[in-house]
Amino acid sequence: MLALMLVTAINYQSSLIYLLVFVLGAIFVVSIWLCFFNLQGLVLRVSKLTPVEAGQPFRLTLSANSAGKERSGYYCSIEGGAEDKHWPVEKEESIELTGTSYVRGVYDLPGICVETFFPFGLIRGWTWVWFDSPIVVYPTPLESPDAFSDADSGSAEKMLVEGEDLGEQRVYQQGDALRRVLWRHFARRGELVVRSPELTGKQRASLEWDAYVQHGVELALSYMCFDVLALHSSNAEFEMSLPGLSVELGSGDQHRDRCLDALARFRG
Amino acid sequence: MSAMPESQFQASLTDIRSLLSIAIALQGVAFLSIAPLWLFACLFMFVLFLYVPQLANAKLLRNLLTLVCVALFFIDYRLNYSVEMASVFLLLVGSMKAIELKSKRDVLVFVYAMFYLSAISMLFKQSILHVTLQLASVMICFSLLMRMNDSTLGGVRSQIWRVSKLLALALPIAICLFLFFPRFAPLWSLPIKTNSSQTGMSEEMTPGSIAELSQSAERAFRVTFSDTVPERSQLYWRAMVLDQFDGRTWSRAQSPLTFERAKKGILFGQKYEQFEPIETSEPSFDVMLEPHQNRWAFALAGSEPVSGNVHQIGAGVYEFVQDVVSPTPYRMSMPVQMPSIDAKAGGYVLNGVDRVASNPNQDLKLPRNGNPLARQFVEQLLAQGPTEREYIRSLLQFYANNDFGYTLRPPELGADSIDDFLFGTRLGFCEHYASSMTFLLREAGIAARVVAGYQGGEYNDNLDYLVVRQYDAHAWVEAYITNIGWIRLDPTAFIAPDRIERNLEAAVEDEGTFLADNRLASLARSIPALNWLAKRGDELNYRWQRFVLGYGEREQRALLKRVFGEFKLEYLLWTLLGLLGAVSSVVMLYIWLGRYQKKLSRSERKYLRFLLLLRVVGVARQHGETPAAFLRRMKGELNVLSLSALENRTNALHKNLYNVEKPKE
Repeated sequence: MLALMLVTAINYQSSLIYLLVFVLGAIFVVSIWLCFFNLQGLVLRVSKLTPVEAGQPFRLTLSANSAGKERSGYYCSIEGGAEDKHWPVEKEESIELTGTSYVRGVYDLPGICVETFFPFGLIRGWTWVWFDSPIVVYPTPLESPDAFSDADSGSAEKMLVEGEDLGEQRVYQQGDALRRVLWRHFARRGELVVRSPELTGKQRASLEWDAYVQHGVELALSYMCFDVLALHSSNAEFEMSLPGLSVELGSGDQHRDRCLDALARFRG
Repeated sequence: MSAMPESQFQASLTDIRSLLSIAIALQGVAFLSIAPLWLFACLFMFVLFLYVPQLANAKLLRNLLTLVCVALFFIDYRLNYSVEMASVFLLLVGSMKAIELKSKRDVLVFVYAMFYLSAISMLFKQSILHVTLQLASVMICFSLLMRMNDSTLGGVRSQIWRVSKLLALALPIAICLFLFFPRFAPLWSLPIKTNSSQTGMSEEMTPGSIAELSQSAERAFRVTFSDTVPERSQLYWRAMVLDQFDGRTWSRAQSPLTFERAKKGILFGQKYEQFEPIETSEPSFDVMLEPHQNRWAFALAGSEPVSGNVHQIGAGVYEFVQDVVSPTPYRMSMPVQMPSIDAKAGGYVLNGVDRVASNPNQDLKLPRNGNPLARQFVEQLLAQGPTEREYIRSLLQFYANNDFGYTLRPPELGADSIDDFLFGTRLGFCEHYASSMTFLLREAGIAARVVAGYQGGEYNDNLDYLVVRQYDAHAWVEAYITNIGWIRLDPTAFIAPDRIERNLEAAVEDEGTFLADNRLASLARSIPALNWLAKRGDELNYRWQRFVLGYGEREQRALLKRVFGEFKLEYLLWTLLGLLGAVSSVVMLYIWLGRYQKKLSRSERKYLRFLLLLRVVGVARQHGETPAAFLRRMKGELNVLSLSALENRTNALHKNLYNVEKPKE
């Protein structure tokens, strides 16, 4: 386009067309720099990458630090993914991307392409970012045939249930989980009271590899995974042991993730 | 680009539509003077389609409009190629693309069409106004692109601000390139065909044609003299000799013209030739010609071309190789003043106006029949057996003694126009006098011809140039006297000496017909403020033509010579690269450091500036230390004066940021 205009200028010796060509050319060059500096200095961080079930696409949340500069929007895509998501970075600090699905295991996060077409869409500035965060793909949870709930009554070898108690109450202290707060009490009396965790009758369970292994490795892992998730959602304390690896007694999200990580990494 | 989602495009569709219509409207204004009327109706429809979504969605209506436009285009232009046709075509195609707005690609096609349209429109329009309009169109086009790609863009104001900022960053680079980008010779021959009407002189002269031309105050050309400016009565700007007479109309004899052109090798459209003047110490003058869509150049009798783009084609007439469609400069040498044989009639002997090679009888030919009274009159005069000079003198006396009048509104003449004028109306403009006198000379066997051109001009003392306007158009006579040569005779000088010594305005003052048919121009001249404005405008235009339009290889060389002492291509390239590098790094640094840095409030800036001052004393705020903590820490360390200053600024900062009177102790 510009070359055609330049030839026109030369053939007709037209000063004005020369000038127009140079103005357009200069704007083009400046737009290259603007495009570059729109990306330059941007700091990206993986702010959320939770373990994902095998066969399900993983989700990733990126957040950006503009390093004190005003920046225009980007387009983000994950290597191998079809999605090309617009991220108006000046409005939204983070963006959620959906990746592909994997079979059980731990994977490196694929490269993430961040593109910008600022300011005119004539220039594409892009960069590939590889983060250290691993993707933990845990086995598909399957309900065990000799199910957990049945075991509740009888087979004590799989899990050890201690009597559940409504427990006693004490005054709320900083750090107490909000779901332990007795809200009804708060509404009535205006004071924050929690069920004391030490006193709450808590499920205690132990997941033993030997109890599952009869179904074969992958199936056993799936059953174990189901139990881990079930225990976590019922807020129980549990421990888990796999050959050569064991997760100590604990509860909470981190504990669950540790267990899922172990399940994902396990090699029979 | 294909990967780019269209979401933002859809979101900003209304803005895009308004920007598109602004761009179309801008081009409409820019093409007002050259495009046919139907185009504006079409453009209006396009804009309407952009604004009314119901219309835009009706595919049938859209196709109908497109069809009508194409049909009108072909009816009007058929296939006669010209630059205007090409640009009108581009404008139409771009606008059609704009109304079937579906994706980013359509906008991109529109933008590219508009860019090229801007370029080719500058081939036939170079006024400051036109260039400003085109620049605005370019900015609108970039706004369009930005609308689709910059998510931070807010309203119209932030848009204009962004694009102008970008232009401001790009302009220094563009200017560097403009000044120092090497200019090449044209690559191949591409004659520009325009269908804009000829302005100024034509190749024919009928009674009344120059009087008509005199109603225009448009500029014909400008002249700058390297030396002293000749007297006004010597400024006869010759354009062409009209040597063929059919009883009513004087025209150029085609065969000698073709012969001369063929001999010079400029018969057919040639490659555009550059100005390329030869530097001489001889006095010369530079002409900046306004486009007149013809090939001729204006010159004083006896001057020689000193620039490569003009060629002599015999009889002291000069030509370009192509039609002049843009302001064109050329340089001619100053002629040597020749003796006069009858100063009152402008009877100067001329140099260099001989026919180089052609049929010499051309200057004696007359139609066989017609004008019997004039022929009888010549016979009477010749009966006394005068010499050639005596005969000429008696002719001039005839004009002087018989109450001939000078008027811009000459009465109509019959079939025997010479007879009617000489023995009937006796009221005429310069062409009547030139025409009748040439007839009388030829009838007596003296070689003579009508010369058409301009006479005089208005001098601008501020900028030292002479501007010649259409109302300076003139026609006079050249006659050949044995043993003396060609002399110039101007019967008009006899009848209306004011026309030659002062100007047309003075000559027809009593009649009050000067620019009478041109209300606007005469109004502009009668109001002093407007007149002053017009004069400044003309000066601005002169500078524009000289320094911007006229900037080429020669000016580049001169500029480099002034800096380095001599011109070499390497110098040019190094200068260009060096300047580009320097300017680019400044621009880049600006973008890197300054671009969109967060704006600090006044109190913040004041506080930070004070901290810089404190650094000189040797205390610095630590990393992560809040202003309040810093103030507390300083309480023991600083002297009272600086402490109270710091306290003031910290309080102001807190007031501004948190709306509290004082930081908590």
